[in-house]
Amino acid sequence: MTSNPTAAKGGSSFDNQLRLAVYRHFIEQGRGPTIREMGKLVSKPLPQVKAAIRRLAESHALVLQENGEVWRAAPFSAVPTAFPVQAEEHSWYGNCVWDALGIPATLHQDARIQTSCGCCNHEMSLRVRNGQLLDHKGIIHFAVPARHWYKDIVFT
Amino acid sequence: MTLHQGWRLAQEWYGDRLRPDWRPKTVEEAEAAFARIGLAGEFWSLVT
Repeated sequence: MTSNPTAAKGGSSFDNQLRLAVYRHFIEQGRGPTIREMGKLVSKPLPQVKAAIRRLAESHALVLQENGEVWRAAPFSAVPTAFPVQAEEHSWYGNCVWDALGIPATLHQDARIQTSCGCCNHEMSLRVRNGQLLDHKGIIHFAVPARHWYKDIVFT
Repeated sequence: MTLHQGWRLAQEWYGDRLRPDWRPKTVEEAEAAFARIGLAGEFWSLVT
């Protein structure tokens, strides 16, 4: 979420074009694009792309790695995690169970999340079918109050 | 929260992510989304 007026308006049209290109790459390729690939996706020079990436990171639309590459375009993780999501012919990673559920929510597709319980490590296989989460025991635990999530989103 | 609340939260938060006109939720919109799922109280307040 944001209190940034520009972000609240949806940012510039180029920023949004880049954001959607990043998501399309995640969805179609099963991984995040590199900065160089982003430049090709939107046919713009890298300095302009990097500036847009910084703005998108400031509004939390993207989260970046220390090297400036994309770490997360929520709910998709650019790095392998303990929350793999399988839908039709593609698979992705979510950064947490909320993001993992967020992938079928984003795609409006059936999906399977093969993960394990954070406290006992027992297998948890979650399935979304026809817009419904099939019954499964368990809870989701948030350790960090909502107002502090973005102080350290990686820890959250 | 329950897993089903988590699924509802995922739908609220991510259901429109691919829309060309998507924008981040304001604090008010986010808190309203939490409330619709039964997530209320100090823990879910976004006001700093």
